[in-house]
Amino acid sequence: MVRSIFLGCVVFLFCILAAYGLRLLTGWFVPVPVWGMVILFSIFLILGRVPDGVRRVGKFVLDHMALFFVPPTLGILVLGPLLQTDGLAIALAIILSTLLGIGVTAAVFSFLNRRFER
Amino acid sequence: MTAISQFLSDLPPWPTHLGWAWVLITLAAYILVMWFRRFVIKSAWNAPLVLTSLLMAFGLILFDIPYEGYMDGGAVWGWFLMPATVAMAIPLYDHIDILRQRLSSILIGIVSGSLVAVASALLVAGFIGVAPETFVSLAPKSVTTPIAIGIGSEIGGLSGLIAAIVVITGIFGIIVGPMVFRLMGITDVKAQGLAYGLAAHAIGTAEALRVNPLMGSFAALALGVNGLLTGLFLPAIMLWFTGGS
Repeated sequence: MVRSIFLGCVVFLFCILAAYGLRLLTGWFVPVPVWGMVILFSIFLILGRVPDGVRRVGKFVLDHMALFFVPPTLGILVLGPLLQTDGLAIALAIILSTLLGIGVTAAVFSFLNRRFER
Repeated sequence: MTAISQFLSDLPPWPTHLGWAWVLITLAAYILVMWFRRFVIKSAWNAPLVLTSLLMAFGLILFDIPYEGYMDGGAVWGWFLMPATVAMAIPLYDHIDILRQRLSSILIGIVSGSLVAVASALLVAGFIGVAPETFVSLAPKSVTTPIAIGIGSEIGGLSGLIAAIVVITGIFGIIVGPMVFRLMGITDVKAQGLAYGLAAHAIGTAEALRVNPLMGSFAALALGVNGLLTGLFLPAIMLWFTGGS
């Protein structure tokens, strides 16, 4: 089990390093984590399965994502002045676009799904 | 080799002694919150991220600690968002059969929802008038934080503002989601999951998983596909839009 977890960590490290490489190679404005996700997904496609160690490590980091979110979230503490000027616009933008995003996605998908698939 | 040196320079700097204290205190706050949540009914309001952030923010303000000081150690935890985002390939691959089966409906649903969410946020901000860095920070609001910050820093947004916008969007999304579905008469859990994952990213996905496994799998799908598509196309669109400044 220790061995498979170690191998899982190595796979993740490889994906991240390869992502940095791909980003440099292509020069596209694609964030490193997105490249990493694409590389890991490709590895699964090639292997035809999710290796045990990768699943263990992946489940662990996904389960505790809330902890990793805390430092960037606290960044809001240094935004006081900006929120005073743009706070209302930000709030309205969030409310409207979240409502529309939820509604449009659900409506479009269920329409197409009913129409083309039984 | 340049890739390795960039990887190394993106790693958080080795914390000082005080920084290690922040690493431990953040972990302790998180563990405390997880323990507390065993005794309450889980909801959007007491999501681990919300409570841990509030607790830490309260502490930082109380003891008058600057954010930069906290990040001496905080950056260590923040770095792990990278492998966590990479790990989203796992739920994506787990549902590859449904993904293939419903590919066109899923993709069209995600792309239209994503375009509407980005466009409406930017229209509101443009209409009211905001600072340029606020404008760009609003663009990636519907993708999960690490991707959003990645995109945002490519196009000149403020990572603290982006993170705050993304987190608030996620929490708002899971609170209003059920009302929107009821109003629109959408009962299909697949459609609901897709909408949660798209508009409320990782926070919405966690909520969908809690309600129903199938809903959760569609949310993970929308989260991954939306993150990928937005990550691939939004930076280029925004740079073109703002004239590459």
